[in-house]
Amino acid sequence: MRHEQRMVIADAVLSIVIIIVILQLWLFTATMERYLGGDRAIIVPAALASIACFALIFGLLFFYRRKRAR
Amino acid sequence: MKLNLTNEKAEWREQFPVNWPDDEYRSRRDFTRLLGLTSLAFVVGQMWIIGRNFIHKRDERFPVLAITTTDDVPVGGFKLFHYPGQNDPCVLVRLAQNNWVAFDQKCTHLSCPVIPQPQQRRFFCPCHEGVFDIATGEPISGPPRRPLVRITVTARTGQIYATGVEQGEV
Repeated sequence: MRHEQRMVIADAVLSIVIIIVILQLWLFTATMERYLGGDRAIIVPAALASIACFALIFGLLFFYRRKRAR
Repeated sequence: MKLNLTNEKAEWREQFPVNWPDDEYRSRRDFTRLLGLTSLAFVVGQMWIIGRNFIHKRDERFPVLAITTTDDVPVGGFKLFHYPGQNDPCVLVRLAQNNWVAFDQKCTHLSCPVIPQPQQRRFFCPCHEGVFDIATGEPISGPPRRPLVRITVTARTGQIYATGVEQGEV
């Protein structure tokens, strides 16, 4: 794969990962705010959503690694 | 003079062996990995909240506190008390002859003390004009979005007791 192509893929993956991490940051602060406010019903769904975000990032990095290896 | 950047055998390469495009590519890749670790840290944080909640729930036992006698508070009246700790202000309201409700007095917006107004069937927060329903503690108007934390009360032999704190049923 040419260098320019690798850069485009790296940039795309990086952009998506940044968006997901910002989403996770928001999710974490919102969960903490609700939990400290006495709402405990939200913590498990929030944790599951955070795990899903991490899995998505992991999947993207794995996909990118495979692309790079070709 | 124009430099040929792709020529690996050029003389200047020996003095300056850094390959900028490759360096830029690697720094992006490493930054993405760092973000991956940050994501993992957020997952750990969420798990920490669940763990903290589990431990807190296991150790949670509320005391039984005698607040007042039924004769002390008339219908439409209220009484302030502290529950479960001395720094937790609460308010007991008598809505009808045998209808008592109690809530944490802290507004769920920014923790100002709410004022019971039984004639208007509401709790009023003077800080930002938040209004809660007096029977359910649900927010009616103003900035609060969450209901007041309810204190469970029981009436026994002419006494009103606080027995627990209801949380998380929003």
